[in-house]
Amino acid sequence: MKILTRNINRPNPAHIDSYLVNEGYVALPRALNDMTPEEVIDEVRFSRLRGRGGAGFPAGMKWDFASRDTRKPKYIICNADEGEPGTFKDRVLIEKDPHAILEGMAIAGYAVGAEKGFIYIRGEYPEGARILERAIAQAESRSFLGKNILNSGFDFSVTVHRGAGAYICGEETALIESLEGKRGQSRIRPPFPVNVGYRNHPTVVNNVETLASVAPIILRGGAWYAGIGTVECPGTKLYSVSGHVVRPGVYELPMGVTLRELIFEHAGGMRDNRAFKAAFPGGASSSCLDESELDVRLDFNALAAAGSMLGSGAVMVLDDTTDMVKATHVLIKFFEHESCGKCTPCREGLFWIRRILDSILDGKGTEADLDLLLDICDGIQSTSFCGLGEASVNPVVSTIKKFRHEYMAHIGNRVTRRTDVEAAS
Amino acid sequence: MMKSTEIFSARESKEMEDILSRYEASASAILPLLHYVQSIQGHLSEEALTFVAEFIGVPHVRTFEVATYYTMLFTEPVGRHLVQVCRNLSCHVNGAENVLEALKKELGVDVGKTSDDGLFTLVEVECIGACDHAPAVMIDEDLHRKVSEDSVNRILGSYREKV
Repeated sequence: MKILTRNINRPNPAHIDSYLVNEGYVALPRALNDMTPEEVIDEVRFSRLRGRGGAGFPAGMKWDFASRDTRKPKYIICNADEGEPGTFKDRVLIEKDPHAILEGMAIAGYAVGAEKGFIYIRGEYPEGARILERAIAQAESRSFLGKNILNSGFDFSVTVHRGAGAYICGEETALIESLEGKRGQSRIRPPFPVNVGYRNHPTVVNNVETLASVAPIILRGGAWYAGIGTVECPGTKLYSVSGHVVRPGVYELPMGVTLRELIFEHAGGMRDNRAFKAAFPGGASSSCLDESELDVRLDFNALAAAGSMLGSGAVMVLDDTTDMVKATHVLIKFFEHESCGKCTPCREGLFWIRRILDSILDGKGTEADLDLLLDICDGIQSTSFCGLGEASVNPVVSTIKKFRHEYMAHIGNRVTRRTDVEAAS
Repeated sequence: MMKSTEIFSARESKEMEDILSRYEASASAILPLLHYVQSIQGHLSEEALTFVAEFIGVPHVRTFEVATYYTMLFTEPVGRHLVQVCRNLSCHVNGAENVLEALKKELGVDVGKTSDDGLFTLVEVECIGACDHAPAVMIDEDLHRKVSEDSVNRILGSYREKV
């Protein structure tokens, strides 16, 4: 089923003429001419669309909150700061179907009463930023963006804003800080951005994939969309599959596909006929799944029930050649680098976790280090200021739980080595 | 205050005015202006940061705090080309370490350093969203997919020729 990826294989897919061929910019005039803002929000509520950036918050509810706040101006921000390791789905939409994002933003603006939108795109996507700017110019030239859109009296303009390499800016309050020209550090919530966002005004922050789902929902109706996928997690999802699979890539599938089906029926199975060992189903910040969990459904609820999370749908697949301790070390180095430094548990805790993992990999670890790691993880998870710290320890806790023997093998090396040294002396 | 004409051409000054005019809140232009100045000058000198702050009309600390926070902004000179090697998991399990070693050897530098000819600075970066073509290396704004130890030479060569 192709909803989000319906246009990506057309020739010159990013051009407005390619978008217009397939009902592009049909939903926007329908919303502007035939629906009240409340009706637009209701349609998105009926669809039960949940935010695709990772949190899975109901998009219609977010819009509803922002629309009820009477203060002006209001803002729509498209979160295109796709930085979760293993995620590259938004890049595909940005580069191949930018107008789907812009149409979704304009509809969102109409629904909540915003006239200004920003696309905060990660600095590492310079080509994506250029494509979006060209798309905005094309949309303005045909009156799909700008002043008095299609003679409706509704104004909506979009500015592309490039980030500069800070993962934390994918978190919506840090993104807003960054957009305000500050260091991207999270704000305390509540108040939530829907009331106190950019410049302390009501602001809706939606992920690229969420916004790209909007026009099809307005065209076909919320009930149609709610019938796809699972009852609690409707719609299709873009899964980014990478690692040791035959065909890494972005796959659009109804929400709730199993890990087994995704890997073996869509991504071509394991490379070189190796055996599956583990997968991180929601990027670096998710808990890993092992072979016994291949039949877990990849949706928000099923993964939460399995002790992991869907996040942005970044499925990193690992085969039996993978050293899970090294893999965890790679992920923790990432979080250590990306910790913004604002709160102590995340900043210091990740430093110490990385140091302990260094020592285990150097053959200098002890079994007591594993308890110490879990203790630090508990401290970080329960006391960090924002979601970065909270989620950062998931790879450590889950690999110690499911692959403790691999840690012990590294720790065992130490015993061997020391005995060797002692024997030699 | 330094006059913009002393460090920037008329065209560059115009571009900076354009960037500033896109934002109702002028401080929002800090990041785009720093990106732009860095694209011209290669890095963000103290002089440049002071200039941008005064150009926008914010305290100096506002540009300094931003410049020192973000990975992609440099307050020290870097080589003409920035070689960015992804070190995250999907690239890691597809041989990123070997690619990094090959680049170190070829450039004769460690991570974070600039080659003697001043052409290349080698850095490690976090996931650049190219996991489907791992291992990935970004040089300046060009994405190189499925890089191997053997292709490193050819890729660097294409930048050497540009000089």
